[in-house]
Amino acid sequence: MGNLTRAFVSERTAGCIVTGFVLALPFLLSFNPYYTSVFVSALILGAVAIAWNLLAGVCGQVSFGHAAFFGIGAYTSAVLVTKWGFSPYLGLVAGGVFGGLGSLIIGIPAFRLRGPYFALAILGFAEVMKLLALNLTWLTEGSLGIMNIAPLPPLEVGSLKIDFYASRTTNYYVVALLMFAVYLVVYFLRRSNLGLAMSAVHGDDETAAGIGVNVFRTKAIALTVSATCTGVMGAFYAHYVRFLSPDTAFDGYWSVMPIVASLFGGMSALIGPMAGALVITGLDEFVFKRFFETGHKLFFGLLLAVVIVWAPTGLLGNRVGKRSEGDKR
Amino acid sequence: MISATSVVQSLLSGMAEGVNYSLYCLGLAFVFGIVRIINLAHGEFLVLGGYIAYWLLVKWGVNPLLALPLAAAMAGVAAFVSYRVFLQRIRTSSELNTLILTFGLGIFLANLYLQLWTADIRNIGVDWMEQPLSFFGIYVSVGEILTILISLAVVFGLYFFLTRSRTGMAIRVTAIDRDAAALAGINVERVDLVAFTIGGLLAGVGGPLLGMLAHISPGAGLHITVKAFILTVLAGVGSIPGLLVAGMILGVGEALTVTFINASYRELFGFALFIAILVIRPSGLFGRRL
Amino acid sequence: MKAKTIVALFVVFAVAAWSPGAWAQGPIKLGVQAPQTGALAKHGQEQVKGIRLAVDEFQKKHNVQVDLKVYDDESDAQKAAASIEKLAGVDKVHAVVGGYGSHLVGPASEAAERYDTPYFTTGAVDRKLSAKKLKNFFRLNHMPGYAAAQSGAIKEALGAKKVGILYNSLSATAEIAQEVKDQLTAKGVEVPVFEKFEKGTTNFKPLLLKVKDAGCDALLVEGYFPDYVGTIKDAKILNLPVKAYVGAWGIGTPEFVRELGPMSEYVYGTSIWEMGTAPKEAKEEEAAMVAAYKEKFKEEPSYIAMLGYLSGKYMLEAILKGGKASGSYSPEKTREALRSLDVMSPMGRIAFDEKGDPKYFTAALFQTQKGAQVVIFPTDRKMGEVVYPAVPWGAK
Repeated sequence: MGNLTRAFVSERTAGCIVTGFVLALPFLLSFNPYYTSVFVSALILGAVAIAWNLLAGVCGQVSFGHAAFFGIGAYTSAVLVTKWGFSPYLGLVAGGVFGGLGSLIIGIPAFRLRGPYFALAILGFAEVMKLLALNLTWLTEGSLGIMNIAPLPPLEVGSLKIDFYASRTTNYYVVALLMFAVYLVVYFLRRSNLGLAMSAVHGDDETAAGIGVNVFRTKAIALTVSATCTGVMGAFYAHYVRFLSPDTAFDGYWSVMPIVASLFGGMSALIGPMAGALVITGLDEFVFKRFFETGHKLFFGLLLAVVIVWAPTGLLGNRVGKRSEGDKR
Repeated sequence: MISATSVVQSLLSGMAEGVNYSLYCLGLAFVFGIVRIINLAHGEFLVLGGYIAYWLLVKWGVNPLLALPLAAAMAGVAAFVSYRVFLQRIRTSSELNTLILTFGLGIFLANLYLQLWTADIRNIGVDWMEQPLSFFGIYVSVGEILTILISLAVVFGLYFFLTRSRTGMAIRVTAIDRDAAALAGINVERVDLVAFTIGGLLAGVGGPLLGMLAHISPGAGLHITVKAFILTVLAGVGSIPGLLVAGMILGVGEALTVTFINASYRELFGFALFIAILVIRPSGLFGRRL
Repeated sequence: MKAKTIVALFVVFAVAAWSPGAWAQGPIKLGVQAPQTGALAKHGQEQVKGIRLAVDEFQKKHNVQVDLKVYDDESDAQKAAASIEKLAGVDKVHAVVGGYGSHLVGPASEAAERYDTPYFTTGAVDRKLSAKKLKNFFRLNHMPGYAAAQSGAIKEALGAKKVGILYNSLSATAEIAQEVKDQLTAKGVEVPVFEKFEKGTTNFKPLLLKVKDAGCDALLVEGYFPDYVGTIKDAKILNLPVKAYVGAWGIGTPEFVRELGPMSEYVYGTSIWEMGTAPKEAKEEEAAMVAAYKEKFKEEPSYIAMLGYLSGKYMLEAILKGGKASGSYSPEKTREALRSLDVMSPMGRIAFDEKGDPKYFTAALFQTQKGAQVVIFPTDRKMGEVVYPAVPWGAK
């Protein structure tokens, strides 16, 4: 089981450290609304990346089109809330449900594809969804987009009223909560029998089938859970940014950046993608933008290349998770 | 409502665009088929070629067709350097890693172009090449005919290079069985480098044509890369003549979608076809190893 | 328990961070949110140039220091809102100008409203933006002004009977296409072809053939630069038999003429301002601005730069005027000063209604003749005679 001289940290410890950091971050940023809003985006990305990594890192099925589920979730909630007066909280749930259902539409025919072909099929699906959002004008308002989406309604906790319209900090903690929920789902799923089945599928379809794993069902569950979590985050995004258009909701960003964040953070750790999202955002915000206001993406691209080549296992790569898995057995 | 001439004209325009599509995607398909790398910086290499031709035309009045060799060479150099500095080191790791790496390179290049050449949209226009010719009520421009000829020449040139030349054969053998090729004394590492560089050259040829038929801008690459992807899957990995057919199917399908249905479903046609092919016949229309 | 403490803590912090407080008289802090990278980079960059010029002149004229903060929204909706958080929430600017693209201005203007910071845009024409009745929202140009120039000119100056409209699926172009179609139909002009195309379309021939088969007199392309290039090139190849080619915006500009050469001749387009189109009262201001702009940036100002310039100028003056009245700069006074504005500018008369929309805005329709833009409609701003029928590709 590898190199014992390395500093191993169990998945649980790593999860606690990252979560603690996330909770403390607004204090570190002294509640600066700008930085808080930057890290709200980072947490949305991080949560989608954790969900993506359930499919890729645990089950071995790489998707290039998580924007599909993100966009479906966002549009579901936005349409339900603006057109039919649903509560945004219900919208978050509905966003997840529809994201999950959407994933089955493409998943069922695509599961027999392997490697890059599976990934590309989902990419195609994301494009189709975006084009549908553009053309089903009666439902989505087409390219004009949906404006004035209601923010999450205020919550009353005792005598405290928590508002989500003006404050970035409250939004931050809601998205941190969602992120943590997604993490727990993935964490417990991996520890369950299904998680073992997913690991087996990760290795090899035939071998997994040989030891009695229902490969199709396992993949379907991994994809559906991953897409559901992504859909919820999409729905949150809709109520946070309060404006949706096909180009923003199905933006390639939501397909590509979760992959980037996962690789950065390390795919073998469940919390890795979250750490990756935070680090990428931090670097871009605090380092690259200082250097070069208009050209900071240039550094970003270069850094991406450098990390892949010289640190391919990511930040938390070999340091997290492996041994705790060994202990269990 | 729609006249017969218009249908024919639309069909022809789709075929012409299709042939050029296949040139735009040739580099990506080639690299994917041989080196097994999906090069997400492909579109950026192509755009580089376009800018070379644009500046040669604007500064010194060089006809873009004469600029083709230099455009190809510069894109080839970019590919060579990318491979030597980055890709070579992670050749053995997962497909996903090379994908992200080339994606990063693509972002880097697109933003570099933005810094160097501003966000202006550039059009490579030469008057005599834009003159229309008419045959029995069907119109076509001199430039279109030339670009189609160039596209065909490049596609078939690559095909003959692979099937007839020594280096070409070495590349094919390596693509089919790396270990056997290495045992037979082929320097497979070198083959990868050569193939990736050729991929860059091929992309570079597409740039000036794109600039002539449409336009170029720093961010134009990604769209091309996505189109190239679709075509590669449609044709089936490893089939070079198949690319021509796939390109035409896509071009004609898009054109006829506009003619008979509605322009807003043009892109949908491409992606629907893409998913259908993936699901029904994952190896593509002409999928076989070279 | 602990969670509650945290909640309480951040509420305290947050409240402390936002209370606007009284602004001391002193340097004016002007914020700019505009795309400097990404899809809209080009427009955002020009806009910022115009604003910078306005700041220079204002400092010289009034001897008041202006701290200009420019943030790139990367053509991204989330970043646009975040830029406002930074400008209004952290830098505490007195007002924000800039903004390009309705999908970026939407979230940004909402954020500005949360911070009670006046927001003045020149690049967002979507009707829904002002329908929200934000009290801090102002803009120089909006959709009906563009559409009226197009439909009016097509009916009156050109006298076309059948018009084919092709439009880019992006939001601003989709909206203006619908508006123009409605106006034309109401005026009794037929619109037999009305089709949406995706951005990135390169083969326009099948679409143009529909226009040809329908026997349209005029082709109206509501799109952006690449769409004009594509449609004109393909129309030339097809020798498309229409009598006029009309574009929405960003057509006929110096860059357009530079890239398309002879194929830019005779196109029509709407513009808010081009060199020489200023009304009599503002000719002097126009000449001074163009000269200063050329001096500073070594290029001709586009209408986007002019709009940026005007927004910067009026916003700064409003802040100063409001500040003088009350002794400190306040959003309320700035808004009041803007609302009471009624001036003649190089783009015509400027005044705002209660929603922040421009009361008198109308675009002008021009035709490119020998590389220059000649306004042909509305008749009171007319600079020359229309050449009709004539299209860039020289068909009959």
